[in-house]
Amino acid sequence: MILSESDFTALAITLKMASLTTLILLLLGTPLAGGWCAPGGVSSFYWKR
Amino acid sequence: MVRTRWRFKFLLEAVIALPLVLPPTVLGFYLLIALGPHGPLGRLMESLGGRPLAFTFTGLVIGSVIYSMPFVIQPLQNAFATVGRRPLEVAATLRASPLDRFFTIAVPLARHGFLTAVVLGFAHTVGEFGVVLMIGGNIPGETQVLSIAIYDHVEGLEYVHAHWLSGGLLLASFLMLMVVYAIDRRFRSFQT
Repeated sequence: MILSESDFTALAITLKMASLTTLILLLLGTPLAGGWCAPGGVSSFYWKR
Repeated sequence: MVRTRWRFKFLLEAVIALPLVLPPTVLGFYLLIALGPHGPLGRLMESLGGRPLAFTFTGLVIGSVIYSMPFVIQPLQNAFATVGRRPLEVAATLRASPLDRFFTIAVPLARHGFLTAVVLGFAHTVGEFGVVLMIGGNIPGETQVLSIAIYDHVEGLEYVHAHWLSGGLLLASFLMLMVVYAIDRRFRSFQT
C-alpha cells in the first residue's frame, strides 16, 4: 500500500477541518461582508434621511 | 461591511486582513496561549466544565477560521461591492425590508463571490501548516493534518509517501482553481 492508515486519517482530519472552517466562515462572513447588520446600510434610516 | 459608514471600518478591515501578513507561527503562538489552560479561552472552557482547546481538533478549527478569514471575507466583500447600491434601492422603493433586500437581491447577485470564497477558504485551510502545527501539536489521529504528514514523511526520508500526498494535493488544488475559473468565465459571459 502506497499510503498508510495514518495518511488516510490525516486526510480525513484535513477534509473535516477544511469543511467546518469554510462553513463557519461563510456563516460569519456573509453578514459581515455584506454589511447587512452594519449601520449605514440601505436601511429604513437611510430612506428617512 | 461594504455599505457601512462606520468610522472605524478601516480597523475592522485591518483585523480581518491581518492573517495575510502575519507569520503563521506568530498567530499560532498567540492562539496557543489564548486557548491553553492559562489563556482566557482555555480558562473559560475549564470554568464551563470542558478542557482547554489547545492540541484539540476544536482548537484547530478555531485557528483555521481566524487564519483563513481574509480568504473568505475579501472575495465576498468584493462580490457585494460589485452588486452596487442601485438594485437595493430599487428593491427598497418596492417596500422590500433590509433582510429581503439582502437575501433576495444582494446574495443572488453576489453568488460568484460565494463560490470563490468557498474554494479559496477550503484550499487555504487544507494547505495550512504553521498555525495547525502550533495549535494542534501534530498528534497522529487527532490533530495531524496532511501538510504536517507530508513534512513528517520528508523528515523520515519516506519520499514515496510524500510524493503521493503532495501530488494528490497539487492535483486537487489545480482542479479546484480550474473549476473556479471556468465558472467565473461562464458567469461573466452570462452577465454581458
